[in-house]
Amino acid sequence: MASQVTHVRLAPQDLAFIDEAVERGRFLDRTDFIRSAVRLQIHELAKERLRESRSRRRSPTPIPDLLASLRASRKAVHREIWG
Amino acid sequence: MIRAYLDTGVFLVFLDRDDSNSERVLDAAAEGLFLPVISFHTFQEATHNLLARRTKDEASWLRYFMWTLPGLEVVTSDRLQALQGRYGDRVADPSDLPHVQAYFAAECDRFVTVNRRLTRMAIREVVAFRTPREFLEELGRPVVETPQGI
Repeated sequence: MASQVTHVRLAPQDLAFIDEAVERGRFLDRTDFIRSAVRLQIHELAKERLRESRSRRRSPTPIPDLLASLRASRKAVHREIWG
Repeated sequence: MIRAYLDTGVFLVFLDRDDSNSERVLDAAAEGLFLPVISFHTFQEATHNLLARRTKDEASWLRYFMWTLPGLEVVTSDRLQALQGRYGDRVADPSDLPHVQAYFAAECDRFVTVNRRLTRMAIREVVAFRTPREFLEELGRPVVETPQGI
């Protein structure tokens, strides 16, 4: 998927921090830093949502049932992709 | 840094249980303690499984969660195509084979799985299988008592 350009206003102290991190070689450039920060936020939000839905369930799936369902999914996906 | 292939079960156990070694492995990946590797099969299997057992929302959030795992490498289908026919004599169940091939394609050091069947196949001689618990122990991270180290 092609990436899109968006404009973001940042505080000077945040930009200074980003530039220092880039200078230290931790990131390629400002874009690399911001991209990484956005992905980290998405990851944390997704984890939070998944934990919330987990806590709403009364009890975990018994392990043998969970593994059996995984085997079924694995076989179905394999059939679909490789025939 | 260790390159660890994460089997689909690691993600499903995280979704299913409040505290698990699988979740701790994913936390360790997010902290950059190792380089996580999955394949396009992992996405497909997790989505298929959640759509069958849970909700579309959960399937969607899990995809976001997986896709944004820091440092993640995804083995794509073209890289697996190049290994077609390899290792089939050592893996009894053909549906496990793409994951083993992805492990080799990405030159991984560990294969973290909750699938005990797979770890008993002949391929174990050349693949460094670890349960989530065993892998955490290698990383020097605290573990939790769970059946089968999941």
